[in-house]
Amino acid sequence: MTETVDPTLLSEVRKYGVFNANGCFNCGTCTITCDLAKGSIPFPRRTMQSVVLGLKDSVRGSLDPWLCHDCGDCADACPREANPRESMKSLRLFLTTQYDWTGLSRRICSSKAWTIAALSSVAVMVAALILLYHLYKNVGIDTLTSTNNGGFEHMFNRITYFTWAVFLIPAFFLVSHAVRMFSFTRRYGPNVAVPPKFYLAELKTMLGQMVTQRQILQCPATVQRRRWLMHWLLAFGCTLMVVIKFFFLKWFQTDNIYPVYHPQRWLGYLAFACLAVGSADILIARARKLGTIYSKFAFNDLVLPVLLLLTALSGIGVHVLRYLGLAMTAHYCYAAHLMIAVPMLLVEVPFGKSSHMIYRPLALYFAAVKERALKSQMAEEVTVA
Amino acid sequence: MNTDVQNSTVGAALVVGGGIGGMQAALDLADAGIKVYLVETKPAIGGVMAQLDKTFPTNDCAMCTMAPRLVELARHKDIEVIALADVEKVEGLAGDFTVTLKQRPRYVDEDKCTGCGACVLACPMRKVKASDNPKKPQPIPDEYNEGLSYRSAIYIPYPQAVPNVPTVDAQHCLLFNNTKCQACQKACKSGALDFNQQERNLTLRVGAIVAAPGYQSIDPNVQPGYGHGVHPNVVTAMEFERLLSASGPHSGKVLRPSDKTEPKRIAFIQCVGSRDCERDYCSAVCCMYATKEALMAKEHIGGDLACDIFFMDLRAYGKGFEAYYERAKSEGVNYIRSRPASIQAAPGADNLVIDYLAAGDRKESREYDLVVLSTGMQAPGGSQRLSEVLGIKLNEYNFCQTAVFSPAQSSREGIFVGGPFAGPKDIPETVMQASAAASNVLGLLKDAKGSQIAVKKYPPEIDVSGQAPRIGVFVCHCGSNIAGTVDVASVMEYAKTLENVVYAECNLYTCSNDAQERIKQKIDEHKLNRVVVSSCSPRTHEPLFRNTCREAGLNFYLFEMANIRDQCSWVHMEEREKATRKAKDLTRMAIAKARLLEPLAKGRVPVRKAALVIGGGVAGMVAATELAAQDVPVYLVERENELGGNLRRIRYLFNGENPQKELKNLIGKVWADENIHLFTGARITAIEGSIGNFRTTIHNGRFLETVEHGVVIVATGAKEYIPKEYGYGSERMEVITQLDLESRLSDPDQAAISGTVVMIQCVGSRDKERPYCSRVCCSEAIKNALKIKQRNPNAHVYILYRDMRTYGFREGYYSQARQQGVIFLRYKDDRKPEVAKNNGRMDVTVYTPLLEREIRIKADLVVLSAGIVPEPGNQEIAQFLKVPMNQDGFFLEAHMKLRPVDFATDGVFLCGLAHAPKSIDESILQAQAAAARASAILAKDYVELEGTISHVEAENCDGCAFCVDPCPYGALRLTEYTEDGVTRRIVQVNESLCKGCGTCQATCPKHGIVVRGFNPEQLAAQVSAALEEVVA
Repeated sequence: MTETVDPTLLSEVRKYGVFNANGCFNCGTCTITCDLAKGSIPFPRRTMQSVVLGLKDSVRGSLDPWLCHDCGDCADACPREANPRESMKSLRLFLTTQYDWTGLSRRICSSKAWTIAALSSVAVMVAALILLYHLYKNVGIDTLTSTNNGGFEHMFNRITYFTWAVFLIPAFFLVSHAVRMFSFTRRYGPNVAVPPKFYLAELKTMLGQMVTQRQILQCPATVQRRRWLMHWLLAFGCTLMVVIKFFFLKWFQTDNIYPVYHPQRWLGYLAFACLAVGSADILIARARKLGTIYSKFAFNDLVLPVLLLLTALSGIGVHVLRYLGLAMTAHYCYAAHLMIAVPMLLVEVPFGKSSHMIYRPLALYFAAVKERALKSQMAEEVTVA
Repeated sequence: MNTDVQNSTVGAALVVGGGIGGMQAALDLADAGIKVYLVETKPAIGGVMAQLDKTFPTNDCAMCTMAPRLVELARHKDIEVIALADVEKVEGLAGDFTVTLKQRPRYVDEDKCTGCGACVLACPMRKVKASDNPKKPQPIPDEYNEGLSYRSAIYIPYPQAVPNVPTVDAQHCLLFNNTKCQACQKACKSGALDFNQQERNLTLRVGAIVAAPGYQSIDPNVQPGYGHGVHPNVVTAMEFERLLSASGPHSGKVLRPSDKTEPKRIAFIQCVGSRDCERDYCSAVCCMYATKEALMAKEHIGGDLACDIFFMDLRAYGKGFEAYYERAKSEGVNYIRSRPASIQAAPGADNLVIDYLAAGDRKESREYDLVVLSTGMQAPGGSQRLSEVLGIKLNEYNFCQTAVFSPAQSSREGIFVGGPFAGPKDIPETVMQASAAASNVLGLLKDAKGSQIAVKKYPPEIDVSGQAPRIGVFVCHCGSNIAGTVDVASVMEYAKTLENVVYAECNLYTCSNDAQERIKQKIDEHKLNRVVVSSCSPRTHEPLFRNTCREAGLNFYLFEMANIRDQCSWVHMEEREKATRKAKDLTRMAIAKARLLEPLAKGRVPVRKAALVIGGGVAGMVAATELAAQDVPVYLVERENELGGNLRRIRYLFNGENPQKELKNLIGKVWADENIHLFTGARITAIEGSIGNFRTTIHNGRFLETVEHGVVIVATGAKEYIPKEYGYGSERMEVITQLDLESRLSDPDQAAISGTVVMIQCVGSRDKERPYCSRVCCSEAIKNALKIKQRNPNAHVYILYRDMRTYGFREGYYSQARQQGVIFLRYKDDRKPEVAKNNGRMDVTVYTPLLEREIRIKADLVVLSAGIVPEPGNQEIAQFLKVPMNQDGFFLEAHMKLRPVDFATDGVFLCGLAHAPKSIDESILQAQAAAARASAILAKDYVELEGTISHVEAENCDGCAFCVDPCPYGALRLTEYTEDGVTRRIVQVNESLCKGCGTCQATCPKHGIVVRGFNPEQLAAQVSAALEEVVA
């Protein structure tokens, strides 16, 4: 199909970060250097060229940016210092905004002010809700301080609904974005009919990636092993936290103190440890500018790790304070925890950079399905011939 | 202007650098009457060209074309070669500089040394083998072979070296390393070794300086991923050139370094050290030299050798390059458009693996036996120091800074520049720029011309009349060019058995300087009165050998040549025995003719000291003003009423120079110069005569005028192609050419261009009808795109190209255009873009191979980069002057590499677009070069004519005039005279027109007209000799 170019595409992409491909003369060094680019999806040269030319539909349908794990080898090898890695990063944000139909993502991803405003307004709303709840319930400070076991019981019912909402709303947006992503990407790339059974067969690819994050390990740079570990910890921590907080919320809705061997205790500690170590490590690496990957970063590279770290710290804070019997402080800490975690879940996760946690495995999945279809088509052609 | 010029000038010049550029400048200056000091920092002149095996795009042997020049230069009476020397200080002003040189000791007395080479053979370092013992001396890498072989500590860089004198390498010489070795001193029969030599300073007074220090190859380790020096089988292009060369480490057998086996798969990687961020320029020659090396490797190893060239843009932009590229493709050289990121060692077997991107960006990898890195050019190592000493400015990459309209002029008055020192360039452009620099010098020193030159004296001619022939035969190995196929020694032995042959010998290169000395010595020793050389083509080498004979006292024409290379070894490579037999046949035939040779006298014609320049574009005007500056009267003929040609349509340049202002200045200069006689709106109706004496009839619009002149410079130009493609000329669509766009962009009344502009490259170039590249269009498109962006950064510009050919420093503007958002999109020649009208805009549909799909651009303006087509009027001029044109309709120079401004016809020169597509600065350089070449003729009072021309045997000629019409040069005329009251008719020969082609002799049934030196008896003797059986 002949696609008409949109000369404004490049400037649009540039709203979301550096895209310096104009130094590029299409030598292909980046694609050769990249260990992840293979099969029917070679990148970043093609991707870069599509953006420069203004092939908006192709770019929107492209999975390549999600398959790139940011190692920076291409940037080091590029004879024109065009930094393809940076461009792929910007493209991921651009794609995030394209998958989002609300338009919120466009604002949040391109503007620091918008990110801060969106996060803080949700935080304010959460604070207001907490305040209103306490006023409505008429739970006074003296009531809270008089209990010695934390005194959270009064909230448990409401919190259940609230937690469901806080998890399900972003989930709804993410699913709708994923559907859009699927519809864009289906049209792009090699024209091949995909039998539905392939979608089933390749599910393991997606799940495998979700569980192992192994794509990163294919990046050749020496920092990758540590990076993979930290990234894995972070992903595992997030997943674990979501799972225990969503499906086993009951465990936490008690003021009783569980024995240490109870999953409420050790699973919670484990999730905390993963989150804290993972996010702190990213922040430390960025602060120390370790290697190409960490030496250059933007505001939105920091948002998620900071929020995650604060969520984890405030969460464990509540736990510790409650066990110490500092009920009032625990309440304040819990309010702070909500004011951090809820904006993160409602704003950053569906509309911000963090949504990559869903797009990356999906992209790998779609790519694998397509690759499989292509291979079987080729095999058929060979048989026919 | 010219305030920095001294009032009285010195008739001498200093040329810095003895490569092919410096040699050209030296020869041009010396031939025009300037004393030349040629300073070379190495032990011998010759530069990089001396290391080359063959040259593109003709595959001519580099040394074979260069050796006669080296010899000519070495024996030139007005050129003094000062080797092993550097410029230390330059004082004074243009016209009168005082130069201090520092000369390092050679430890060999140049005057005493005969170049016999006995010392080299005696040197114990010659036999040293590489060892791990650090206490033992290590073998010395031979610089000439790029370290692929070893040399002795006293050495001659290469066999044809000038001066042909060994040098002691003190760093490696055992004597200088605490031993008492004096092997060379003992071996030297002429006592030339002098270990007491010290560094010394020389002071020279010169009027001008030409800086031609050349270039330096970029260190391949700027790309550490390619592993040069780590993998033994990764070599640089220059190392590979040496592997190919007959004088190389394996005598022309291509053996890879690790295990000395013949490679079966070779990869070439382009742009090593060029076109990156550190060196944002293109080295201009690598695409073609890689093509040449691939072709030569196939010739050496065999057609089944796999040659892959990894490239980004194939820059075959020069004259004949595109055809050469096509030829390479048809001979199986495989071009892969991908830049490999690294070279990996294959497990075992010393092979190498390259990962690359194939069509559709698919990753593939291939294994190779040998990888050649096409390393680019960088400024010569000493360029910064030299610039400080000379007081001239360099550009950001340390090359010499020049301007478009004074391309051979440095930033200091009186100092000129030639060759790659002013930017990466190939041999013909180096030669042109060197000649241009010479022209600048000649203008500056016009009043001092001839003041410091010597008068050449030959020894008195030996009278050989009545002597029986005593023939000396010299058989040439030509490296392995001949000896690789023909058993040279047996040819020599055979020659000795023939009648009248009193001496015969073999030489590695009979054309080398030392061989000339030997020939002279043998003539004297054996009282030879005929000399036969069995070697290569008389076209290139006969003048050299004749001159050698003459220097030994023999008449020029007592010399005969057998071509056992071009006509034997090269064409019978597979048949050694038969080739040897044929070489004997050819030699026997030459000897048979030599027996009948007679001394001939050379005629002389006075030179009419005026020039005709045809064409009033920038090239013609520059050529005219250059000659006029040397006080030569010039007749400048322009067909149009206005001067300026294509330059009138060029409104701005990359570097900000104002071409219209320069054009106005130039036209003003032409009008004001009293030496220039201008004919505008004029047409040439006839040109008669020959070198020294031309008569040209000019129709100036009203009446005919005849002018007389000694030389002709053809500068008839070319024009922009009028496209038939892409709806050009249709009123319904906005499709224009680049020159149209340029005038629109330079018009201040026109609004800036907005919306989307699509430029299409190679319109009317590189297609079936015009297979050549028009060279300038890529740069022109980028220039205009930058202008569009400059006036309106929001405009979108797409450039659809096949290869971006922004060679040299133009690459920087290509980068700049990309950085400013100009979008470059490659199309394939078999799927050209399509332009269609659509709702007031145009849809440009183009298939992009990178994405393997078709895309559409909605354009508001389509600009065609229309190529350059030759003037149809060239045909007529070619007929008037009897000069050839190539198949593309451009004029054909005498030699692609070394004579880029000369025609094969003497006294006629060529410059500008009439020669081939080129840019303004290149046209100016060529025009100045043509002027320099013309001045060499005009500097003399007489032109010497050939002796081998037609001669009428009065007693046999009955005036039938059969011969008159067939003469292609119009040299024959029928005349009547009265003898004893009877009116008789006879043919007369115009000796300055006759080329000795022999057509007349072939038509004459009565032995009435013969060509001297080729008369029927001599030819018959050769034919009979050919028919004899070989008794060997």
